[in-house]
Amino acid sequence: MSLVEIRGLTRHYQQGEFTIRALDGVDLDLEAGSFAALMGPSGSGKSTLLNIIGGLDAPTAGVVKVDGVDLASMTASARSDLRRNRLGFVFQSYNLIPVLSALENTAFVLQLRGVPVAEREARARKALADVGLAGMESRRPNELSGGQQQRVAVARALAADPAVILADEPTANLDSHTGHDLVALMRDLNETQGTTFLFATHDPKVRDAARRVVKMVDGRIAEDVRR
Amino acid sequence: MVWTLAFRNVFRNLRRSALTAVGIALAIGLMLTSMALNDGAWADMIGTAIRGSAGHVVVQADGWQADRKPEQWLDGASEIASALRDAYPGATVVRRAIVGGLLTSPTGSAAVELRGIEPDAERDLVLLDDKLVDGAWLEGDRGVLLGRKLADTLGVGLGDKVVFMAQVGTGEVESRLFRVRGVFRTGSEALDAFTAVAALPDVQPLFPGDDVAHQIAVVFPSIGKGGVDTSPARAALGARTGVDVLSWEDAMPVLKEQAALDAKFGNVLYGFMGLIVAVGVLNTVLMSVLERMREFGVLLALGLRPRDLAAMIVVEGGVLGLCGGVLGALLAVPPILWLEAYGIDYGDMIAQSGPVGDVALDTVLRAHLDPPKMATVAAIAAVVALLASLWPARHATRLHVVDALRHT
Repeated sequence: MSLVEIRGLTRHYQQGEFTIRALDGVDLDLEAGSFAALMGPSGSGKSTLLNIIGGLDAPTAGVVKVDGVDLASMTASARSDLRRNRLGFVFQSYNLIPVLSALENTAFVLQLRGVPVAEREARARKALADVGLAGMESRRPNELSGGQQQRVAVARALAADPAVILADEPTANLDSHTGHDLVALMRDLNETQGTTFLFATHDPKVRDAARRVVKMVDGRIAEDVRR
Repeated sequence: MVWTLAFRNVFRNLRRSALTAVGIALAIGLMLTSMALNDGAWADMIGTAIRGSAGHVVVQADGWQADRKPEQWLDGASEIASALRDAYPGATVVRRAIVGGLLTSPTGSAAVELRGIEPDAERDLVLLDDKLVDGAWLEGDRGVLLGRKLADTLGVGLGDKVVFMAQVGTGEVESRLFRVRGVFRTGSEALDAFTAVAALPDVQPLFPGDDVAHQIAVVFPSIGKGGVDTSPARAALGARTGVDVLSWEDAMPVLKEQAALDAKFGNVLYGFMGLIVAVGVLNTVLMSVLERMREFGVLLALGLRPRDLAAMIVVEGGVLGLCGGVLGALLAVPPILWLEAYGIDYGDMIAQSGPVGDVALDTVLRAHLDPPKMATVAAIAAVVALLASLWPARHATRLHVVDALRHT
């Protein structure tokens, strides 16, 4: 069974008299351990697809199952639980909580899950160490560079050990060198820990690192290449 | 986590939070000082009226309360007073004769109310002793104390003779000679122009009986919030007829009504102040919510439940309100303590106003520090702030996560 199963997914937005077809009949399966990239021009539906898989947005039609559970059948609270317990997010603009330290940011989801303090701190420290930020646990986001903040965001997703990490343009705000390091780090985590990644990206570095590239055009899957 | 985030968010924009807390603190401080002055004024007023005009429990002849006619006296006043002392151990029990009549001197005359009191027992109850501007306290020997204006009207001074005349219900006009022993100034021109005070044994001969009084007052050292119990007095009086037993609230209904009216007016005023606090908190919390939409989107995306997000925002408002409330209470302490010690002398302001009850008020308005009340008001400020945060919290919980994440 696929980790993520999508059938006939459509998402239409109404803008005045016009209907925008952000997703128009998407079918997709994502297996556990994947390192897949959704590529395509702006407006092709990459982020929308990611948001719907993450339960952040609702489809107009179609079925999205995560771990075999249809998101449409879930209440808002159940979707919160799904995000907290099964999904990890890495956003384009880091999106760390400014009033929390790197360690607290990394442990945030674990704390929401009610993981005991000692365990969540240990896991958060390990995740920070895994992304190369050992020794920076007490720093607040404004005391970290953009690359370091994005690493904390990855560590936050990793520490929670989710079924899949959904990463929306994670390298867009990073310089080339930092972006390259981050992609290498995530690929390494995928290979060593089996963490599943699904990216929405324009970045050739991510494309080159991905073992599967799904090209989207006008809300449809135009090409699905496995390597 | 909700608490950690809420606390840190409050101190995140320190200047804005501090300004809001100071605004709340000033409103609360002002409110508490005003409450303390009002409480002190009413406590003094009621205490003075109770001590000098009625008593916590007062025994009178039937009908005296409504008519106050001189012939409505109690016979066997000493016996009643003795029974009341037994019924209320520790309380002060005093007899009073109160009669209206004409006071004349060689150069003038004036309508007066002559109050016959027990000088030794009442010295600590009424405030006249402190208000003597000339002469000394009563010691019997037919001495009389006159209000300043009354003494001026009669053109008399210390040692001068005055004659009191009154019809006391016998059909005959009775008269009694007194010598001016002291002159007092209460601050109320009505009282100073109309009141004469003498020792009860010097007033009683005006009446046919030799042990009469119009009021027998029981004054406790202090009373709890539960009010006074008149049943021991009723039990002590047994089967005696023609006697009325009243609590101070029944004996001075106007005072009680004025206090209640003032409390209602005060509550409206404090309600408005609470509204100011609420609007201040609402503004701050709403601003804070509107500029953190993206952050809320992240929190929701990471799995924070909407109700926890709402709780965080409400706690932020509550913390602001509590900080403001506590700060306000602390700010109010010095002025209240000063006003408790020194007060505000408003004697000149009330010179033309009438007395409350028929006693001389202390013309210095003093505040009364009430720590439990201050703590309650600080807590109420926190609750008001909490309630004011509900709307911004509701706003935040209705966010569409994707839209919130795109918010800049």
